[in-house]
Amino acid sequence: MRPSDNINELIKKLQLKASAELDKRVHDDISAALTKSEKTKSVQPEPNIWRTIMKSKIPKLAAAAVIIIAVLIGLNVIDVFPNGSGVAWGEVLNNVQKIKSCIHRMRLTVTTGPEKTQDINSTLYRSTEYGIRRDSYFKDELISKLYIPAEGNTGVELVPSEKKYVEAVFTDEQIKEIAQKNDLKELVKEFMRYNNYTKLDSKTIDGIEVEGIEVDNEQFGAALFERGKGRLWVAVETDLPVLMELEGVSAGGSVQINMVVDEFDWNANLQASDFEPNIPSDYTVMAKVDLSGSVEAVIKGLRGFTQITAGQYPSNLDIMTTSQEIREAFIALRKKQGRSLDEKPTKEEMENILSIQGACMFYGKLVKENKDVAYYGDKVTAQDVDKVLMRWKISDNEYRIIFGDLSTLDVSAEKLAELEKPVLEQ
Amino acid sequence: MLEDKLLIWKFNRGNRNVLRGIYEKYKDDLVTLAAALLNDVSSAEDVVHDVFVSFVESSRKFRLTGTLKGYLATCVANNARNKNKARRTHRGIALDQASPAQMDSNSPEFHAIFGEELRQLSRALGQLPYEQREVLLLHTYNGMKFKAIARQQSVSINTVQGRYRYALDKLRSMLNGEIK
Repeated sequence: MRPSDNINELIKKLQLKASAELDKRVHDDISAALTKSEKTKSVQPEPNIWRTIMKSKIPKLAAAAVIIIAVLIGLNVIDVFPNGSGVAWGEVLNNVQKIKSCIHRMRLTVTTGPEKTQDINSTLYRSTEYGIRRDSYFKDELISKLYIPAEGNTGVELVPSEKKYVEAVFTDEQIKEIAQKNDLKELVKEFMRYNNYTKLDSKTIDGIEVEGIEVDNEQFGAALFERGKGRLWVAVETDLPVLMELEGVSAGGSVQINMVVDEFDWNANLQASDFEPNIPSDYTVMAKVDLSGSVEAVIKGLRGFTQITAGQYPSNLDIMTTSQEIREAFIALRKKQGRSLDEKPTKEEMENILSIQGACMFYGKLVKENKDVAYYGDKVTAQDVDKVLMRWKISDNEYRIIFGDLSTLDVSAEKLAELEKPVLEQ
Repeated sequence: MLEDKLLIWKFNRGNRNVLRGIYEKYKDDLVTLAAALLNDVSSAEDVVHDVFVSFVESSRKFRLTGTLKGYLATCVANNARNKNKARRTHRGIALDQASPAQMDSNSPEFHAIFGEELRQLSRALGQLPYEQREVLLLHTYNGMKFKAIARQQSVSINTVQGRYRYALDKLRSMLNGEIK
């Protein structure tokens, strides 16, 4: 074949290699530009100014711990997606599942009354290979660095202002689930699992054309709040999330929660060292808590709660309600004891504050798995030894009960109906 | 395509570090394009370097549209065109009056990289008028549509298609030995 027979094919075969010298020149210029950019950035004011009227260290510490669970929620998947729009909704989850790492921002605002707003601004680093890291800021202060490894069963949360750290124990199964599913995908799945979504008008966010859906369902975010709704905005160009907005109420409506997840840096270049806690030698342990979601951990969490509240249980086992109620109870207890709110919680007190999250995790898991779970913390106290505090299905015709005195019993459905009757008639 | 979308996405979100990934992915194709346009590997690398320096200096508000490869090829072509024009002007010859560029595709460097057949092609390419060579390479090597090339060269699409046909005819003739 003569060269002229297929000139186009020949042209496509032309291939030079960039020299090492060019590589160095380009990479050096990029490095110099990045350094210059960082220096410029450092003298600019941060776009988001943290505001809070919460002054005491107690709510601050509780706030630091409160969202430890928010990164661990696992939810079911039902493949129901909107159709006929610019966004290929079926591709959104597929695209997110292909992501091996990302960095994003999460802003959590908890409002407990007029002028009682608490904001926590977090940066999350996620890697399917290395795990999760969350740096949280309260006002402008770094209050928490949370590390959950992809392997192993212990998460670590550093509290720099106190020079302390919390160790949280998970089961291997939980850690594996976190590594495999990565909770950001689970959050997207949570939006995708409902039939009764509402399609929102397209709009532009930071110059990016997006389309959105809104989910308003009583099961939405069940482990986070009593009743919630959310909006998911996805870029038309990439079919990847741009913004997630979650809002809900807890504690009978007295607590409002807004969560904004945005500023995604998909497939960010993350290293193993980004996920190593490297606990400083002068840090001491603040608490060791079991968040494995075992029945024992649930009972320990509930018992710890009653020690602060003089026998009361959380009215609801969503994380926001329990956090709010334990915080109020803790402050009330301090006042009753004549102790200053500035006095740091003891290790035992912190473990009581944090351990209730194990119960919340377990409750959320049962809801997710449709285990016919019921919880009566608003009607049952530690003194109600024979009343059903919580129950859930463990097999086709068998339920497990936790009574008011935290004893447990496995019973048939018929027996459960009999034992549960007094609570239901209250 | 997801990978390119992600690169564009990150770049548009102000992540300049992503330039390293873009550079690594397309550097060889861009150096090849620039070298084929300029017939000079050293100048080609200068062009690719300048393109990425411009990228680095772009503001966060900068937006990429279309394909990443097409955009980079256009940047390289524009830069190469300017460099070629400057070279001609320096030599006192207007671009549109320029005779075909003197090839350096006989150089040991080209010979080592390309086999005889490709070296022959490279030499022939160097004898095409610059605009014809540019159209042929952007369309064939980079897969750009005539419409996009017309926009890049600020001429009509008919002119671009004409340059493409002339370029192919001349190459065919040269490679068949009808024109030395």
